[in-house]
Amino acid sequence: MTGELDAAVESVKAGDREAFRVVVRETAALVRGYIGFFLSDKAAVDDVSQAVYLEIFKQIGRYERGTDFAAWVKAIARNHALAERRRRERKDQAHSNYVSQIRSILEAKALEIEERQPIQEQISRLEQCLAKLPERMQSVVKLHYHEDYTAGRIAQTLKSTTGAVLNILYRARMALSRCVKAEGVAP
Amino acid sequence: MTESDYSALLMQLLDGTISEVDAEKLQAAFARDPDRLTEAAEQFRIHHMLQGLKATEDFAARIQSSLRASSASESHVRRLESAVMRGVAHAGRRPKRRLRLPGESSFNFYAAAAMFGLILIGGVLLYSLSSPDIPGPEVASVTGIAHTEADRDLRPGAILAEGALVRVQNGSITLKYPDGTLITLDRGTAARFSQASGAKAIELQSGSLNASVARQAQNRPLIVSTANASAIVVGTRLRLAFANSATELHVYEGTVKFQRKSDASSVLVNSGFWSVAAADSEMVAFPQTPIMPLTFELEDFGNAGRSSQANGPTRQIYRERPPLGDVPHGGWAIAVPGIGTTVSGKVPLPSGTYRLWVRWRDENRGVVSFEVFVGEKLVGSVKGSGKSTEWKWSEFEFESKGGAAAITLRSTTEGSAIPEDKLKSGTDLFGPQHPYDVVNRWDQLQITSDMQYRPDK
Repeated sequence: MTGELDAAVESVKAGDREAFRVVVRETAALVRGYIGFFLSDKAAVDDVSQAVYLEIFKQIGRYERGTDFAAWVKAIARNHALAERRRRERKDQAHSNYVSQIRSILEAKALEIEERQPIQEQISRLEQCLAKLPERMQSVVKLHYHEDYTAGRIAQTLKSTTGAVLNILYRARMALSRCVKAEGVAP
Repeated sequence: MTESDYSALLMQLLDGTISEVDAEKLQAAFARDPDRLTEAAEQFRIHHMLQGLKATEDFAARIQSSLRASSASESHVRRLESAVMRGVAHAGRRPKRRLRLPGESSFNFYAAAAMFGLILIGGVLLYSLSSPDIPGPEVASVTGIAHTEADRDLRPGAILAEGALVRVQNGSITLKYPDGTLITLDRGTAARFSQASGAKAIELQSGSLNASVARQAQNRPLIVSTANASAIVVGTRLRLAFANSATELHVYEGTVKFQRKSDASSVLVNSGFWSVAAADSEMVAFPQTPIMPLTFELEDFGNAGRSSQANGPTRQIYRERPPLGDVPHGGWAIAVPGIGTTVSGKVPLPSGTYRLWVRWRDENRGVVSFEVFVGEKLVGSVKGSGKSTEWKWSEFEFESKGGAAAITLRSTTEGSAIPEDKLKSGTDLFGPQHPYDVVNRWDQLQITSDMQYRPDK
């Protein structure tokens, strides 16, 4: 936990509502990234994230200084994400399928990795790693993940092919994975 | 699977646009290669972390403004939370939504209302002058072959031109609009896509489609029409099929106005209901009994499809090879005389009671029998008489406690005059020395299936 976040949490506990913005800013990538492990729908991730922050705001008085704030936040995020997923699964029971099976397999594997390499340790390095990617690769990643461009639209924009864009995204994720594990070594 | 196919499928999985067939392929790839699964899990983690990084400052500002607007009292926080959770319950229909601000003062409310009124008037004026330019949908995934007049082989990433007529020769195609609306066209479907009016319009000429529609503006609903009916959609999940001058609509989420063109009679079809528009039926909605499509993998059908040069001209042993892989309900499989045929399908079976129907018939000589297994358990068997070639339905009921199971039909024939070893060797089947006309014996048994699913209460 950074000093700024630490101070912001204490300020919120003392009644400073404005300080909550810092708490959200410093943890939003962690919360939204982690919720994404459980829910595939981007809109649902955003909505559940909002519910999570309201819960954090309500419960922040119970957070004990000196304990792992990121782990505390993740526990709240996990509970909300799983509750939302259960609700969706009940509704879609007759339509359960290979897609949900394979997502469950990946989720289990990702959470297994999470035990060894917690997301909160990697996410702060991800931005640095992103800046170290080759320029074209960086553009493709930003267009897709920040601007919500599909691979087809990126291909049109960069005068490339969809297959090539998909390949760049694949290689970029692998490079970023190696980089964040290696504590910011250039990919 | 090539590396480029693999990276494309993985992206579709991460983006939530992968088809069932492709998901099964990926699952098989992971089962074969555990290293690939670990690598995919790394990709999965980085993908979601990258998504989490998006506009964190904006997100923090949104949360903060929500809190600032609320009063300090717990009751306001509870109302805010309740509003958010109500919104979450409808998240599938509203992909992009911001938190509502409770606790605004009456002054702010009226000021906002006045501002809204002005914006509305301005909006109406602008709307009357021009229609918004809606881009055509993009191909999100294709299994099999689909084409338009302009593009003989539609691949992921292709963007449909205005008025494009998509035909799906086999497999299926999923199209995605920029607002997240997904349309999947099934095998044998022809549908025209248009956005020229400023709203999304799909003309289903034949076949069937599934739609997961993001929330549309009330005055610009998505309209799916067939020759005799229209479904007017503002945000829902549905299935529409058109055949034999009848249109059938199933609604899984939301509400759809379903209108027959000939007399403009209509019905509102809610989630969990279905309706049919036909010349001789009343427009009413019925509760759905969910139907589980049963996907078969044909595992063993003897020598089907093999040809031989031995002792004479090349001849196909069987007239047609059954389709491998995806045989949805209504599909069929063939039992080979003298050799058993196994037809199996892996299906997810949530806890509940199931009824499986198998349609079958004897043909020509021999008595057909078959057994139905769910997992290892025998749930029923049938033996034909060999006297009739009429189609018959057999019904099997079984319980599932949840999880995926393999459903297997094992068929055999008795009384075939062809020795099994001859059939297996293949080369001895032809030529003047062979007394049998194999071509006439290819279809001792045909099986089609359908399955009904009744969930536990």
